[in-house]
Amino acid sequence: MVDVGRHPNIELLTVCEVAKVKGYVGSFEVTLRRHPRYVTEDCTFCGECFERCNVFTEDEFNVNRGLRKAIYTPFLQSVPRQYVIDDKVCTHFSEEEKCQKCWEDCKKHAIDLSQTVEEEIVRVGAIVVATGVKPYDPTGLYGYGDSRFPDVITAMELERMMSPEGPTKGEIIRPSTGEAPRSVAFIQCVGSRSEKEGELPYCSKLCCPNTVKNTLLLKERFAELEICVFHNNIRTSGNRQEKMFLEARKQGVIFIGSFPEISQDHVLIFSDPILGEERLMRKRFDLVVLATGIRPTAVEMSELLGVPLGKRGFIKEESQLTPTSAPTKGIYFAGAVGSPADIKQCIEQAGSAAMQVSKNFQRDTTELSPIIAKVDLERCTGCGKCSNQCLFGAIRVEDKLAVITEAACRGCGNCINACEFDAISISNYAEEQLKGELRAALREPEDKIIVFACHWCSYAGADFAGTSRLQYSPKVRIIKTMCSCRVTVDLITYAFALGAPKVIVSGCHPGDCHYLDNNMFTEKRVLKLKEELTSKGINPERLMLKWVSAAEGQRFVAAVQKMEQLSVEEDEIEMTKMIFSEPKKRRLKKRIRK
Amino acid sequence: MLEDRTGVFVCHCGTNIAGPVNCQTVTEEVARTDVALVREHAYMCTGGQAQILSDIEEYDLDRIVVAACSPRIHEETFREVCEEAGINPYMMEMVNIREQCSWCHTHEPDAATQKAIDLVLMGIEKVKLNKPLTPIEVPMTKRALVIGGGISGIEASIQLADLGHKVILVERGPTIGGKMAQLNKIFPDQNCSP
Repeated sequence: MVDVGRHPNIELLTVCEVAKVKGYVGSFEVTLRRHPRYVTEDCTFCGECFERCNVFTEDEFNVNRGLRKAIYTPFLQSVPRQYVIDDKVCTHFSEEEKCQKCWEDCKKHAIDLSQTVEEEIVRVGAIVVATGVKPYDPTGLYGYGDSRFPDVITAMELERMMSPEGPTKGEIIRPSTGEAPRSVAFIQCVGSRSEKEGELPYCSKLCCPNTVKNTLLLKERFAELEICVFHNNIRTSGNRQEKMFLEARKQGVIFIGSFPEISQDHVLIFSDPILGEERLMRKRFDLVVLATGIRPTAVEMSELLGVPLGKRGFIKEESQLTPTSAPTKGIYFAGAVGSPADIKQCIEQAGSAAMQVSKNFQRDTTELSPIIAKVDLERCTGCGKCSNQCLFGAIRVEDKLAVITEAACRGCGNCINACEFDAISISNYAEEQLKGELRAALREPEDKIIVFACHWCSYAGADFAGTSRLQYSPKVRIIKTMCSCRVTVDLITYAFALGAPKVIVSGCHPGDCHYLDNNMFTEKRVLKLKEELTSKGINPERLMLKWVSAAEGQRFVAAVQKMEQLSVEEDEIEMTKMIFSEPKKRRLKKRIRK
Repeated sequence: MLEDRTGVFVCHCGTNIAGPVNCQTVTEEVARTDVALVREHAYMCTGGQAQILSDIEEYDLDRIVVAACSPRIHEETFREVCEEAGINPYMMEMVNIREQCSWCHTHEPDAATQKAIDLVLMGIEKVKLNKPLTPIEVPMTKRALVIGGGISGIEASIQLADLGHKVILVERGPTIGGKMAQLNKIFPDQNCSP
């Protein structure tokens, strides 16, 4: 920690937030919101200001057990070694009297009460997200936060209690009496591995080894202390953790595979692990410690940086082989923001993310794929619909023409759907090219199944089916696009007009799209077109939307097989051809050049 | 305008493709279209590369279709071959007649061959309208932003700084240290938190 403060290459900005991020790899424009600290770098940490301050508030560093002053430092080894004034509490900012005792007493003139929030824009080439996790709030579970159960605390509260710097100076006490406990119960998986609403469905991975660690530390101090751990299977698979678990058992810690309920006076009621519900046990404990899980902090980062989240709200990696790269080039992540991680894993991932960033910095430039959107200047009217459609902010309208920010464009092709003038296209994935492919694929359209597959997931899923030697109908003709959102309604109806009996549009699963949530546009379009088919008397089953991941060869084959079983009458194919053969009325450019 | 000169290269991949797919039929069928050249090779990715190189020169090809394995495997390889031969790497299309044809229609050689022909024709249609492209070069600002001053952010910053890169470390709170600083001891060795 101290190294960060004094490293010449690190500019440390505390009480600072990232307000906005624009740009792309090599050139991110980041707006930083710097909150006032009110104490300048001239602070020598002498502590005179701290002595004078008489305003107290709850100490969040100690999980609100204990108090701190309005001018404070979260803990003694804080970096930077500078006090900070909490302006939400300090009476200088709230009351009439304008207390400024600390300012009066500071011999170094390091206190500046006139500081305000400032915004600063910095340019960086790459970003590492390491915002970590927040603890799960167990209020309401096992009577936590209820005045009837003052001796139910969280693992973090125990952690602070055991610290010599904590609110009890390292004494283990029952909060209700201040006396040392004679028995302690730990309850694992509180709010974790649960499908209940508001609880966490996943394993937070840290709570088991952390509890075992705490039982060992408690046993070291009080050999006679009775400790029971109520668990839903102890998971100590990490480095040297099993040894720790065995040691705790050797020292007499009792592990009970059962979930207790709490009743009056901290009595835990639990079923006998062997006899089950038939035999309920009751035991009173002096102190109950809840091992709570951890929640991701990634939602905010996802919105700020436009990186997708996984199902559980953690940042999603680009692929399994690049576990610290976000799908957006130039953005990396480390630690528990990606998934629950212990300190060792955080450090490993930080090293990996740093290596990725450093790789970018080896050259003066970086190369981006040229498969991106192109505007036909002769057709563009500057209506701006493509710009509104683009989730990457890569299109702007200038002088009545759409202009692509080449480095920001990802080449997904969603913009094409918005254009009514056929004025925007993706390089080498132009509408005419894909239509040309369709014409070749449907030279003899009988029984053919046209599959549009996105580059990242579905095409790879079809490859995987082949690699696994899964056999399916040779009537399938796959057409690759970068994203499923590139598949315009026009393309699908063109396939039908050419006599295609069946069409499958496939893409990454919702939340897995490599272009933010663009596959949701695909879903909307396909569902709408299916409705149109129905209204025109065409069987909507002839158009299928299927999410296929790169690992789902089986699922790809199942989709094809299902489609194959669908029988389509020749009359219907002919009718569909007729319906969609009529050329669509296109709006022509009506633009008067000045 | 000069006529497009498309070359088509059909790979056998040993017997991986040439087992179920009758490559000779594919070649003959494709040769009926207006392509400049159709060529077969046992392994396009290895020995075939030299063949492509010399053919591009000899037949003055300006774009090629390689019918072989998945582009996910060898697209880069053949793009490099194009570059070496002096044509734009994006004037190449790969047609997947292995993962998406011979391997999944192993027992239907006729249908697999027919499909392979269609796939090659599809590739030819696409490559006809391909445009030469150049990767976009963007300047690299050699400074990193690390968001979050917990153990991960601290470690990432120090690693980068030690490698000689400039780092801005942004922390919302008044101190770095994050959750780790709140821990009394850390498992598995009961060390003090770093």
